[in-house]
Amino acid sequence: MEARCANSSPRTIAIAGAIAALVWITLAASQIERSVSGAELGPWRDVRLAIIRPLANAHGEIAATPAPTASAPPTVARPMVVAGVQAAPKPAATPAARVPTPSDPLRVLVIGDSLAGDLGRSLGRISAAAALVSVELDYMPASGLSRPDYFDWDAALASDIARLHPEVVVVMLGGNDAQSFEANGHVVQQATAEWSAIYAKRVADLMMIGAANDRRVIWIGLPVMADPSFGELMRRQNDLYRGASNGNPRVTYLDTWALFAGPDGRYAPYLPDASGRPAPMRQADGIHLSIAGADRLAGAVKTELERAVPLLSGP
Amino acid sequence: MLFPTIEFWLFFAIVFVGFWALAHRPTAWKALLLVASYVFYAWWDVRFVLLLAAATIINFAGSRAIVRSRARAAALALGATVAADLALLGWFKYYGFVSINANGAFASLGLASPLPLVQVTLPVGISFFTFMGISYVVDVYRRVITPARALDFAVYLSFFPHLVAGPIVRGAELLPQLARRLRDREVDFPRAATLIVGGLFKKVVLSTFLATSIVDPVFALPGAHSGADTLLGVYAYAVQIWADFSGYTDIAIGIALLLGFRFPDNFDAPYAATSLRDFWRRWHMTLSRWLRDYLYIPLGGSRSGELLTARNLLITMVLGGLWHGAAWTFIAWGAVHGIGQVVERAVRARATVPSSLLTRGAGRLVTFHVVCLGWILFRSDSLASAGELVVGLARWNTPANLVTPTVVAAVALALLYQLAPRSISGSVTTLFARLGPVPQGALIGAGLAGITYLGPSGVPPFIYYRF
Repeated sequence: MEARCANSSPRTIAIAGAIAALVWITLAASQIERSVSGAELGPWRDVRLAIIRPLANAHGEIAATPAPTASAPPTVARPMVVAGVQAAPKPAATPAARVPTPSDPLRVLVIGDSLAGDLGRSLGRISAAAALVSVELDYMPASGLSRPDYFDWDAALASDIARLHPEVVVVMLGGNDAQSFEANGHVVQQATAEWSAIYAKRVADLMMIGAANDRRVIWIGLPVMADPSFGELMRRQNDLYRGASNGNPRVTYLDTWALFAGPDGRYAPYLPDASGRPAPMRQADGIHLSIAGADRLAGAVKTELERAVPLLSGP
Repeated sequence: MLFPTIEFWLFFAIVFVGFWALAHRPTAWKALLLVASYVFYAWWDVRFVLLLAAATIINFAGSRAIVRSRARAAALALGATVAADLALLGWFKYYGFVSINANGAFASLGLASPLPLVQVTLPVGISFFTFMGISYVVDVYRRVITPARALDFAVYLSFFPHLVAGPIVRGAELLPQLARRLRDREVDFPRAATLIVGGLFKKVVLSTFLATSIVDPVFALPGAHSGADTLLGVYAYAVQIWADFSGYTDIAIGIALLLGFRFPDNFDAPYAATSLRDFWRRWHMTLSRWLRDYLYIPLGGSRSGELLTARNLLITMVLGGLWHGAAWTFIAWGAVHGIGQVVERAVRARATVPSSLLTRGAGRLVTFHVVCLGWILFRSDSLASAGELVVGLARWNTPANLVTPTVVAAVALALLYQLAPRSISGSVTTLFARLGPVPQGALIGAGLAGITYLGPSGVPPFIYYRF
């Protein structure tokens, strides 16, 4: 049954549309404000915030501009993957101090952005066979450390640790971090000394949370990227991760740049897989990992885990 | 530019005002639609615009060559145009898949592959506009339609509501609407509004909720969940992909309606289907029609006996699967539907039980589960993962962590909705139509606010964008 509209002139539709927009903005101002504030910095974000903030503030739900490091509750779609069927969580123990068994496997938490999602899925798959490692994955696409107002990894990791009691935390993020952010009351431009200093501090803080209580942290460096200019930004971030890891003995930095580079040191879309045949390593965007690429990275992480916990590799 | 974003609706508001302001100047409003559509497409990647323009030129030139040629030359022109369309699609969508598999096959014979390994970026929407281009030139060749003017054809192929994920609109459906006077057109605002708000709810709230609550976790690590989690995860994916894709289609149809254009329906309660054949009359209907008219029937359809019909069904469904993506999982998905329909035809031909409430109920149950089996292949990142997930369905000795009352209720309600009489949604539209523009606008705004509160602030792209 199709209804016929008596008021179907474009003018009438425009009126209804304008009223709809007004009602929507009025009723959902605080939610819209939260969404807009997580957008990339720039004039377009400023315009939208200038319109929506007074309404949001009128709601009384958001009192003031959130501080750059404030932990706004994550409202974005957040895939949370929990693998490994565990009984009640056990208290944390130093990984090397105990022997993981199939009934009490090493508890590994993988966190980060969509690249961590690629890695965590593969690590879960390859670890399932050995049954000595239980992988838990918490990844949030488009997240990172540049925009804690969009997603606060410090808070998320603390919450994950309290809930899941991991013994090793594997972190992979940064692919979304090459952007300016607000800090100290002003916009800090990307690729400046100030940006690097603040970003490095955030990296060190997250490492500290991960490595507290004798946990181990494996920080995964970003792989070479298809776009050389984007890759250069990622390489600079890798320097910051490596530098921060040097300051924390319980943190290991895993360099993946060369792992995904060809013999010439450049981005390689295809590399030999476990069988020695060429396999696609990356998705078509030249950033994300294919299944074979994620398996390659997961293999490197597994080797690192075995180094940290020697008994994982078997007697 | 995704439909559920402020950017898109600002873009649309500008297009809407400009379009109706130019209603008395056909060339101007068509030019506006063309520019708007190219801007919309360039939003993803400005380089893709060249591809869209190339597809437009190839098919327009092809159609002109067809009408200017005699029988044999026209057939050659058609063949060349379709080959050019398929070459573009083949390069961008299938080259990587073909080259890596060829490489493996040659290597196993100890030979070097003649195909170099090159990573090709898949332009959004290419599968959709390629199929529209092919249907257009074939219809011109078959004299179903007369060739359109260049501007009309360019708008037909690139019109932004259908550009990136359909529906796959035929020339006979859209071109006459482009030729009609705009001022004579009736705009069905109540239907457009209910489609758009309902579509946004399906995508932003239902699809995203199910994806994050259960589908993504279950499919990410298929060997790690209990049987209950896995089973509900599969059912939830069936609902998610329906909500996602039909939600997109609803919004696309609604947007086109606001500009006075009618698109064909693309979904009709697919999980109420009593057979796989019935399912394909209800799921992605414009693709099913396309495959039927431009592949299955030209192959011989069901005219040449049981064996050839089975072959034609298998070819059609496997290629239909491959259309969705260059991966063995999609080929296997198509094969499940092809084999299922072959079996179904054989059973139907020999069945002696008359249709009843019981047989229809059983048909729905079996069909839904075969479709779900297909969705496992469709959603899994490899055949091995799909196998792991199927094994996981039997793991009932571990506790379920992801089965929650909200997820169960969302899945159950969405499935029950498919069995509800269509008059319910029609009644909502009728009631809405009785209101004036002010209460209509207020209701839409309230609905959007509800969606905004219930949904996340970051909405993932539509599933079908990557096809």
